[in-house]
Amino acid sequence: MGQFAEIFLGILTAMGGFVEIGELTFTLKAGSHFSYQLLWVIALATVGIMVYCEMAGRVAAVRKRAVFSLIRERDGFRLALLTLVAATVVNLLTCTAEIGGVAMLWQLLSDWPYRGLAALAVAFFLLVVWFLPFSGIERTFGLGGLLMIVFMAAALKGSPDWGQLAAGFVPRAPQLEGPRDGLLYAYFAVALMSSVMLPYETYFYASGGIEDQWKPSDVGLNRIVVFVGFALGSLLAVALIVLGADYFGPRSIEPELPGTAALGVSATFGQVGLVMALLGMFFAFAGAAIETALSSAYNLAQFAGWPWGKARKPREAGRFTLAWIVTFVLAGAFIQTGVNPVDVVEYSIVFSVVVLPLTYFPVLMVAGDKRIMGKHANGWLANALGWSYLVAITLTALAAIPLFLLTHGGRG
Amino acid sequence: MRTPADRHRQALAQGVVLIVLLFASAAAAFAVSQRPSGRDEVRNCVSDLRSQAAELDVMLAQSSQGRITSRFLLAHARQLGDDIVASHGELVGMTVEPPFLQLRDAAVPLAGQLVAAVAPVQERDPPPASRDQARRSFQGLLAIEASAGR
Repeated sequence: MGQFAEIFLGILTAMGGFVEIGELTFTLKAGSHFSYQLLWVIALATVGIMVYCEMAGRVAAVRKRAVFSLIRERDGFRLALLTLVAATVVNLLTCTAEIGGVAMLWQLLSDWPYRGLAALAVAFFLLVVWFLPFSGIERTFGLGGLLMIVFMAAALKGSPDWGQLAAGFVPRAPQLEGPRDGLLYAYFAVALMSSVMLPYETYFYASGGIEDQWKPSDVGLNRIVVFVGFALGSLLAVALIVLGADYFGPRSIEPELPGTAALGVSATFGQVGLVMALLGMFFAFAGAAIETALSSAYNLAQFAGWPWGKARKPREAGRFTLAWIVTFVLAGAFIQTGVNPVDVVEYSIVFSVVVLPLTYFPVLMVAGDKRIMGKHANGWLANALGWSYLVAITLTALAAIPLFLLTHGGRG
Repeated sequence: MRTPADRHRQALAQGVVLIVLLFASAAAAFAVSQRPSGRDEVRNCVSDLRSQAAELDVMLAQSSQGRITSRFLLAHARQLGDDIVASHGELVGMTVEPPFLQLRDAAVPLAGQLVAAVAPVQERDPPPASRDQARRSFQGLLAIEASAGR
């Protein structure tokens, strides 16, 4: 495949894989509750995920090192183990929420019982990951996720107030209905930041670079895919906030369920739009479920020094293969207990923030180290952005759990 | 240099601290859950029901306009119905601080009306009365929510 086609596909895949169930829920609710006022968080977080994924991808291309092997080397055994446990719990929660989301979507399309569909979804994921190569998984779900563009079209058809929309990208004191809304605004800012900068995305992106056998000459490709793909992907998140503000907010609906999100599209595009929205969400959630399960396996294998990779035969990377299978099975079992996937989303997003500084610190240290990265080490801009974001996400991590408790889990 | 016995003792101490922390967290969570609900908890529950009532109204409107499929209507009504029943159960089962009892008691019949409105939608051919019921619940819950303030 030519390099242009590879870049083009990479961009589309990154764009289609940008949104998952947590981001969908929080962007729509943020828009419904605070109109366009939280758009700046999407912009801020998108630059953050670009900065760190670019660094992680560059390290993967130049040194063939994935995130968790860096964490183990830089943080030492104990802190790395703590990060591994926290990241695995967050990945498992996210995977559970995504599988639950897929089962809900299948129920909306088939009207079959939810728990049976959740079990079927686990079997589907096991077969897909077992049989499809890494690039096949990445492209099928990334490109399928592009159907989410129908949300963007619905947002545009709703004739947004462009002046207000542009103003939403500038952080300012929010217009609130009451004093408790201030806490809720802060909670949504933290949750949106987390939903865009979910740690599994960095683990998966860097490991994927190694799976795709990136070389130092691919540093440019990495940069273009991250910057253009994520920028376009963030437009989807912006569109969801706009849809929340213009469709759900005025109707006093705070969307929680995937089906509710689809109603925002069917209002404009009818049944065709409804089916496109459901399919788009399916590919987006399914892609995220696979990425979280594989991320858990990548992390564990990289921490323990086991052979890993989808490119290897399951027999050659037995413990890695077992790890992703166990992740899917545990997530599926969790769903069968009757837990509400939307509640799981809230927990996974909040606890993800806590893992972010532990994940990004070693990436920043290695990417900035000239002895390791040579001419590919961070320049002054990457270092300045990296440190600024590290401070921001550390403060966000400290605020996340108190805000979660003070707002009764984001309910007000 | 630390001996294996030292490491064993340290691991044991860390394990004990972890267990104590887990028990303390569980006890704190239990104590919080036993506390009577105040204005925020009642209002949050009313807000959930208000949003669900509005959604039911919108969904039935879209169904009558042919914008959603009948299969989607049935399945989504089931998912939404589960949430409505859960919110209704939460409101009814709440132990409320005396000053907010009136607030809760005013919302309970409207929540019951919403449960009654969504039930026939989960079957084929929902009656037009469902939409009126959903709308009435929505208006009532919205008024209660406004009276609770933010």
